[in-house]
Amino acid sequence: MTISQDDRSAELVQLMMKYQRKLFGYIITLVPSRADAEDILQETSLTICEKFTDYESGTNFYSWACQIAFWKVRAARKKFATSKVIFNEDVLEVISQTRVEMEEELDERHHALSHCLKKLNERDRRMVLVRYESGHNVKAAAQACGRTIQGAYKALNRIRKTLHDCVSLEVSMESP
Amino acid sequence: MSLSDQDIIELNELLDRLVENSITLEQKKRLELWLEKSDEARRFYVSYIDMSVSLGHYADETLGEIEKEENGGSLNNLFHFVQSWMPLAALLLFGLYLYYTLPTQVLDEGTEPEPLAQNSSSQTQLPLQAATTEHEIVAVLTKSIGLQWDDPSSRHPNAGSALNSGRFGFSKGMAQLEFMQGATAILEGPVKTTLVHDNAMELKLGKLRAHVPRVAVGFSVDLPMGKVIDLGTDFGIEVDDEGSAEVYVFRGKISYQGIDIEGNEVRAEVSGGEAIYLDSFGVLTPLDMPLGTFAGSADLASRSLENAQKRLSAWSVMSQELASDNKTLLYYNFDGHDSWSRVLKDETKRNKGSGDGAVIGCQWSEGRWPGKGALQFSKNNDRVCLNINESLQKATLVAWIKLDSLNREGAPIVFSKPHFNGAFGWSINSFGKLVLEVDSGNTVEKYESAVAFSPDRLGRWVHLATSFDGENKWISHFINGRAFSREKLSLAESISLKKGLIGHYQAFPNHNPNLSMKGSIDEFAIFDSVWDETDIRKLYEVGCPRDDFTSQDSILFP
Repeated sequence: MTISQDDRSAELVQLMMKYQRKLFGYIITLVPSRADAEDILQETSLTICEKFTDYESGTNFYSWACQIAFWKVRAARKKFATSKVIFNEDVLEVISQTRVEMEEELDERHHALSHCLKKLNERDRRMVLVRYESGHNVKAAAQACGRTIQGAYKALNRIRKTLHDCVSLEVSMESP
Repeated sequence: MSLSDQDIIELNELLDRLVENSITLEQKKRLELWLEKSDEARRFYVSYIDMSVSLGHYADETLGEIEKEENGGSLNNLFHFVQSWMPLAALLLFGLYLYYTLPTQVLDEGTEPEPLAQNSSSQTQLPLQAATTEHEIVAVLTKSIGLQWDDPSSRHPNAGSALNSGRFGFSKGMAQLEFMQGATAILEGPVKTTLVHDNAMELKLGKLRAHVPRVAVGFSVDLPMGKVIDLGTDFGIEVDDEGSAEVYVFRGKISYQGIDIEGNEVRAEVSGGEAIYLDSFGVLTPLDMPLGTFAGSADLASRSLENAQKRLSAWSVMSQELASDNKTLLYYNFDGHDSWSRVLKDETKRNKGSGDGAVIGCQWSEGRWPGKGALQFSKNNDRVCLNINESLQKATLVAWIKLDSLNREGAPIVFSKPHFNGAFGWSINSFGKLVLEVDSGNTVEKYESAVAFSPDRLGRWVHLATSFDGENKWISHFINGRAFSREKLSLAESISLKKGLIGHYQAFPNHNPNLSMKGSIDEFAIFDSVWDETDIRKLYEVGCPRDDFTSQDSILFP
């Protein structure tokens, strides 16, 4: 019995490590505010830990964790009711479905993005990486790259579009 | 329904606004409509938002590597780091400054382990030490940089210390004093002063810049031949070693009252933009106003920030050394994690990732320096789960922690799985003692230090270490780099890390297994050897976020 519990603890740790980035991606798709998504990830992790005995080894952990995350997002809707970036329940449902359907493609897109980043010129690459570094914002990117904030907004919009198009192209070329 | 070019342009604009948090309610409704009706739009949205997460991942990875490469001794990197973090760091520093100073104004500092010496109430002419009671406090040393004391043998106050009346002098460095009535004095060494009461001081030698708010009008500074009385000002005074003085009034007005060598009364009122010279005979002469002679609060804050960045840089180097040292069994520096990360990275090379911990519940927060990470434990379930099963006959446990509160349940630092030989717990108990408890088979033995945590240590980063020598049967506790207690081990022969939890209790006798620490940890290491006081002192000195030790105390910064 004791050995079995130890093994389960180790399994939990491994699964959490493996899927944390994807789980965060799932949550932020439903709640596209980084701070709110981080809070929900915290609460989700805690519930996963508490309810891990319900999880059946060998089944799809990510899918199970996403269900818990979805409950948390729904519960948080009430808390964030006044937030301008939370969607209504119907929309949450369909986004969640779409996200789950796209998981494989999103993995491919994640890898393709690293190639596309290398295709950017040095200045644009620096701008977008500084913008997305933890704790940074457009202002930091503008300062780091010697641009005005307005100029940085425009540049980032253009860079994101370029990257999104590039990733879509790369993924479509790799698809059979 | 596939998206037209026009649709994609609109979606791009809406999503740009969404990720930059500038979307209006109307635009959000428009986006919601798209997402509800169009599968293509949803797919576009999901791929777009997910790209933001991936960009965050690559940004941290790429910029982290660039910084590591540049860290190979390049000052440019430090400059870049300081430059890019300067605005945030300055704010954080200010926040930390308020955090550290305001609550401690009525408390003594006590950062050294032993109790502070008691002062008598009539000790005006005794060397100044940290205040011991609220009644005697006249000022607080709120900031210091590179202080070298006149008398290295005495104990000295640290940043945050409350000060009694008495002599206060140092040969080098800068100090900011905040008097209890509200005046602020910035002193540049060499300086010799006496703190008279909560709104008065004497300056015998050195440079002083004073800022006196309205509530502290009347703040006075005794000079060799007279007295400056503030009338609501910013002013600077420099006294040389022959007793002559220059007084500069930057803003407002001061009154000077003195006598010259022939006994004549000398009086003057000096207004903003004016200056006077008082020679060693007490004779007054008007002076031209110079610029930039005295360091102000902003200069001190700027130099503090530089110091903090230098310390962070030195710690980073040591951190890399610890990570690659083959005596390091487990090492978490809590740095460089995403704010949403649920993995605490083990920095050691030997474990190849198997030492990574799973973060449950805790929040990432600010560590000892602006820009350094820490984990904050606040809710009862907060913990980091370890997956290391080593059993050690010799070990040294080291951590930097900051306790927010200490109640009757104490504060767990690390506990392994209970109920087997070698299971151990390392914690602060409710009395503020550092405790190592080890299950030696039939019983759990506790090895306690003397009281290490008094209320003044709450909210401050404290370095803790305990060495365990199962072979020679010794256990030693260290606080802030100093040996605090040493005790013979009874039965315990080894400690086991099996299924350890950082920041959370397990089911040991007299502990509630459902509770966590209330505070933060920003460095944690376990070495599989016994470290002595010199080794541990080095960890403390390099890792200390404050100028808590003077050059006379230091083994690294003589």
